[in-house]
Amino acid sequence: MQKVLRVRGLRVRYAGGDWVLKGLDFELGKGEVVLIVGESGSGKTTFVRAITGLAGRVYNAVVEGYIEISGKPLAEWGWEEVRDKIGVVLQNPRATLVYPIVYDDLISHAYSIYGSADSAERALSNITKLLRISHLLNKHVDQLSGGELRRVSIAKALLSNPEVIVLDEPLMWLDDKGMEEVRKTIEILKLHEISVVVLEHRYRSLVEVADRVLRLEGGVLAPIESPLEVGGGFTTLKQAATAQEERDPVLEVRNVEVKLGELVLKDISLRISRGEKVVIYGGNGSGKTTLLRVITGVIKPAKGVVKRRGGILYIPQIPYLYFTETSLVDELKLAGLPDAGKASTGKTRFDLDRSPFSLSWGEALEFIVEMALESRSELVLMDEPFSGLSYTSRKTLGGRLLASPKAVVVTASNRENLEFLAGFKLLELKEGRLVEKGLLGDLR
Amino acid sequence: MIRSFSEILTYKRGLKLTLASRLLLVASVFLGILIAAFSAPTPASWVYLSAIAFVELGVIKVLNKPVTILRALVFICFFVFLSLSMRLIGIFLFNNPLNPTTTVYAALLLVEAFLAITIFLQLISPSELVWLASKVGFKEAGRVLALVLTHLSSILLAYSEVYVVVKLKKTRSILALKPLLVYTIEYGGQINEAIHLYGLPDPVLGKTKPGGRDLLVTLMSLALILTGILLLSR
Repeated sequence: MQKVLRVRGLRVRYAGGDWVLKGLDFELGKGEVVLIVGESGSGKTTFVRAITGLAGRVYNAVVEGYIEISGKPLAEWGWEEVRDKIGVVLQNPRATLVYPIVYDDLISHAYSIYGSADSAERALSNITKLLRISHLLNKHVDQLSGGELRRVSIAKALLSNPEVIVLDEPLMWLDDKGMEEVRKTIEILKLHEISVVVLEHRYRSLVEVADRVLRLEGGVLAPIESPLEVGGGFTTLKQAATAQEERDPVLEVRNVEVKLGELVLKDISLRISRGEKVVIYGGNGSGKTTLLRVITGVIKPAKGVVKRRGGILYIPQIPYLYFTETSLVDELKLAGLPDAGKASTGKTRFDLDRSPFSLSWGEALEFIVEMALESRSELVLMDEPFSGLSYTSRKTLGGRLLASPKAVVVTASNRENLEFLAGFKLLELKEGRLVEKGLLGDLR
Repeated sequence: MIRSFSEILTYKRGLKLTLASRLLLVASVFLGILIAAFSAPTPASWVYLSAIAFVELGVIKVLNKPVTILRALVFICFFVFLSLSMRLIGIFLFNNPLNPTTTVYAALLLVEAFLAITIFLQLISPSELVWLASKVGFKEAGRVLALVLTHLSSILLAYSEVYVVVKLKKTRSILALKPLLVYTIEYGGQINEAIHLYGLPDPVLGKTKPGGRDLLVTLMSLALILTGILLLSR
């Protein structure tokens, strides 16, 4: 098989840091789809930056080793040539868009590649037909769903007719529908013999479409036969047998309606007892975040009553948005845990004088969750807590939440995440209405 | 509310008009407000100001959901109420209040100026802004503005998240700036990375053939400007 990308002994380290990649070897054949899995912070994004030349050029990282694209060393390609050879879809695909209307952005990029309006139009037309996104061209980027946004970004990456497409965590934030759209898009790329590298935490749905699966661990890549870390089956609903005990309510929502232009939440009623665990499941845009904001009191419902007993702690989708203090110890003080640092010195793995913004995504979430479960708040709200976490970390988090005496409400936009919430009461939010589905059972 | 606010500052493709027609429409509204500002609140000026409001609300109605026009009307009423309240306070405190007609007239001018800005941002796309800026020698500034307008809604959404956190933490609101600043810097880094990967292309403007609507909008805009000139010359 013709090799389009060859990497030998790749070592990368950022200024003042340790080596992130430690002698990594990698080869990608023409038309091959390779899935790279790895924990948060294992160096997946650094690998992307290295093979695109961004690591040295943008991040001033030290890059050692040999990288070859289409039979020629990376160093011998011009910067713009590398851009045309490797198309990258970033973790946050929205960042790649310069203009807000999909057509404006794609045609401008196509014109910058081909230099003539006719060629640009032709290239754009071919790509949009290939990925079946012609209907999205006149849309504003804010109107796109997560899956549509990923497909538009893949189209942009394909416009230069690259040898390789790299997808950095393409399933992040996506609901079931979005995940399926991305999986189908990768199948289309494979069918057209476009080489693809996918780096992803949530890889289960992609295992079947990949020709090879590699794990990035300890700064090197190794092949794995069975990538599924935990479970691998489906969640079951287990009725009543282990039903959560009825206790004093910490939250009562009665017949709530919310209008944000149109009716977003319709006749929502919800009662959460002390220590109860609830997951609100629904697709992107179904109103999950709005419901959490109604519970916090930030959004006033047009109709209905919300009664809260005790404090509420809200953990946003992006954990860094939680931090307002300069050190972890100050965050603990603000949460009413002034002695937590002293008491838990032996238990916590965090240096409490550290700035919260220096934590990794996983660490930040872990710290906030531990703090929330120790705090005086009766109810902890978590908006999509599993994004950015590996399956192992999700399982740990799910178990930790279940074991806590606090009442916990989490939101989830895909069924895959329900697997890590065994013991939680499942409520589905669909078309503005909340339907109780029962208690989530054990893994099968 | 933040989402609604970002919506009225976002470009929309509802009006199928040429760039020239849209520019003329926006220019006539701005010019009209300027003329009204320099005119005394005579009956003719009131009619003229109402005509401008009619055009503005018409454009907002075409580009947005019906509820948005209701919000715009509430916004106008709020400012009129505010100005009348100020007059009442003036009566009690200074015994020398502003003329009520002048107060309401000034409040309406202010509201219409704000609506004109939202119409400008809804009618002229960021790529057209870059193109226009490049024609007057401010290409880089235009590109920066386009990027800001494209990514503004993401930043505003992050702000709404931080707002919830700060409210529940019962901490000082000023501290909300910290996570927002960190988020904005990190988001800026992602955009920087994307620019290195994809470049910052010049906009390619789609060609729209002028049609009946363009003629109508051109006539309406010219009528607005000519009426304004007549008003000034009286």
